[in-house]
Amino acid sequence: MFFQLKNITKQYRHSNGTVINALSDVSVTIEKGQFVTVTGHSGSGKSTLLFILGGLLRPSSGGIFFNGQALHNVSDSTFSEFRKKNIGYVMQNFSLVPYLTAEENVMVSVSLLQKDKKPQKETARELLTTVGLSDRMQHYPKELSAGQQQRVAIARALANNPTVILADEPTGNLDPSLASEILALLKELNEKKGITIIMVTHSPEAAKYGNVKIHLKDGCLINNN
Amino acid sequence: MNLFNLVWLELWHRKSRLISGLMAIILGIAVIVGIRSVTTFSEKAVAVKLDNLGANILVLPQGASVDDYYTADIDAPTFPENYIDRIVTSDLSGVDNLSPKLSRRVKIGKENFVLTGILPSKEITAKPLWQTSGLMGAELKASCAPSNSENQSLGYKDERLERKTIDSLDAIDCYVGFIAAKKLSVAVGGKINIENKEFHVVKILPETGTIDDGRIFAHLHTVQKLLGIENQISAIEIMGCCNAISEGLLSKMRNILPDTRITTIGQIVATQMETNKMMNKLSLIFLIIILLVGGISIGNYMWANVNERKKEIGIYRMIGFSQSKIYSMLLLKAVILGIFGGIFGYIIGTFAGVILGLQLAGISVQPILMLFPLSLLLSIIISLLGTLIPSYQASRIEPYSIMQES
Repeated sequence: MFFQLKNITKQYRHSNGTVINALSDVSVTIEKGQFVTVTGHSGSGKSTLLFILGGLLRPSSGGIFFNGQALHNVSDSTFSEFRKKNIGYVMQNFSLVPYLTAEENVMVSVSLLQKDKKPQKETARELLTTVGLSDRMQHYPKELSAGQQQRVAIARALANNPTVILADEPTGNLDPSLASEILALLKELNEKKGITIIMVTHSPEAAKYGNVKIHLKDGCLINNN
Repeated sequence: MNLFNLVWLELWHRKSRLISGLMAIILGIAVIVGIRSVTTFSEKAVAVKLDNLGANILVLPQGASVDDYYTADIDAPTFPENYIDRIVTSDLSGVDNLSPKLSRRVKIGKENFVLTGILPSKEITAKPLWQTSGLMGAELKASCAPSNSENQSLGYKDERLERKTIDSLDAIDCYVGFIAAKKLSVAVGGKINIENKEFHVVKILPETGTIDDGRIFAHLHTVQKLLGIENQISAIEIMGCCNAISEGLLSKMRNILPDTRITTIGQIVATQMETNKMMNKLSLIFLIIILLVGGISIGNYMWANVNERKKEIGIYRMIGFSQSKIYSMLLLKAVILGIFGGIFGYIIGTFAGVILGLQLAGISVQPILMLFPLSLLLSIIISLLGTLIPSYQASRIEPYSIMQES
C-alpha cells in the first residue's frame, strides 16, 4: 500500500456555529503508479480529500499513511518535509509566484532540495524543456498563456522528483484543446516516469484518463473503482 | 535561489510598494534623527544661555560672607592665589572659567568704586603648573555647554559672555563697568587715576544690570601690587556644570580647599538645573512619541504587506516551505528595509535638522555622526518589531485555506 486513508472525517465549523462534514468516514487505498481521478459535485469534498492526501490539511479524525508511515499526527515541520520530498502540486489557478519568471518559479522548488544555484538553474531549464517551454524561461506568469502557466506549474511540480502529483482541477481554466495537452502530459508522466497522479476534476472527459476512479457525494465515498 | 534572492526579487518586483514601504521607514527614522539633532543642539544653545547667567560657584575665604564679596570692604578677608592651582591640578570634572578675583573699594575723586583684579584667560592657561598638569582651557570645559570658541562658531556670541573670559589685559589697562564709566565720564582711550596709578580704559562694558556695572576691572597682579596684598585673592568665581553640582561637586571642592567657604549662587544653579531637567524631559517625550509614530507606521506597512502576500505565502507553504522558513523570509525583508530605511532616514533627517533648525529655530545644527549607527540599529529593530506579529501570523497560514480562497 502506497497511500492509505483510514476512516477519514473532516469537519468545519461554520461562523454561525454549525458543523459541516466535508468528509465522512472515507477510507481509500492508492497504489504506486496509479492515475486516480476524484470526481463529484461542488462541495462533495473532492478538494478536501486531495489536500488531506497532500499533507496540506489535517483530518478531524482517522489516519493517513504514506508508505506505512502515519502522517495524521506529525508536526508541521514533518508535514512540510513530507510535501517537499514527495508531493508535486498542480492547481486550477496555477499558483505561480507572480514576481518570479518561469525559470525562477521552478528554481524555488528545486532550491528546497538543491542548495547550489547552478544545478538549480540547470534542473529548472531541463524541466521547462520537458514541458515544452524552452523558449519561455524568462517570462513572468502574466506574460504566459493559461496553458503555458499550467505547464510551468507542472514543471515546478516535477522539481522535487515527486512520487505523487496532486492535481486540483488542472484543466478547469483551460480551453478543451489545451486541457487535452495538459492531461496528455500528466498521463505521460504517469506512464513513463511512474509518478502516481491523483487528480480532482469536474470533467467527465478528464476523468477518463484515470485508471482508478473515486466518486464522492456529500463527503461520502460512493465509488472506489 | 536562496531566501535573500527571493526577498530581493519580491522587493524589486513591487517597486511602488517598496517605495511606499521604504518611505514609511525613512520618514520614521528621518523624524527621529531630525528631532534628535535639533534637540541636541537646542540643548547646547540653552546651556550657553544658562552659562551666560554667569558663574554659579563662589570660593570665598573661610568666614567671609557673600555680602563681603559684593561689598568688597577694605578689610574683607583673602586667601592665597595659588588655591586656584589646587582645583586645576585635581581630577575634578565639570568646572570651567575659573576666575580668581581681588576686589576692594577705592575712591576716585569723590565717588566710591569697586576695583576688581582679574586674571586674563591667556595667563591662566599659560601657567607652567597648569600646562604640566595637562589641564588647560579646553580640558576644563564644563560638560553642560560648549566652549566659548565653539559657541561663537555656532552663532551664540554674547558680549556679556565675552566679559567673563577676557583673553589678555595689560598691566596698565582697565575695563570699566557701564555705570562707573558714566559716573567717571570716561570713554574708550581715556585714562583713570586709581590710587596714584594711571590706567588706560580699553573697553566700556555693556550694561548688565548687576553689581558689575559699577566696577572697574584691571589686571589681578597690578591690583594686588596697588593695594599691597600680593598673591592674595578675595574670591574664585567658577562656572560649574549644574549636573556636576547636583552630583556633589561642591563637597569634592571642599575637600580640596578645606579652609575656604564654597557656595553656589542659588538662583542661577536652580534655574540651570530646572531648565536642564525640563530639556531632558522634553527630549524623552519627543523620543517616545517619534518611536511610537515611526514604529507604528513601519509596523502598519509590514502588516499590510504580509496580508497582501498571503496567497504567495500559501504557495511557498504548499511546495514545502516550513513555518520557520516563511518567518525567516519575512524577517529578512524587514532587516533589508530596516538597513535602507536607516541609511536614507539618517541622511534625510540630518538634512532636515540642519536646514530647518537654522531656518525655523535659528539654531545651527551640525550632523551628528553617532546618530548614524543608532538610526541604523533603531530602523532594523523597529522594522523587526513591526514585522514580528504579522510574520508569525503569516508563518501559521494553512496553505489549504489560501489555496481554496484563490
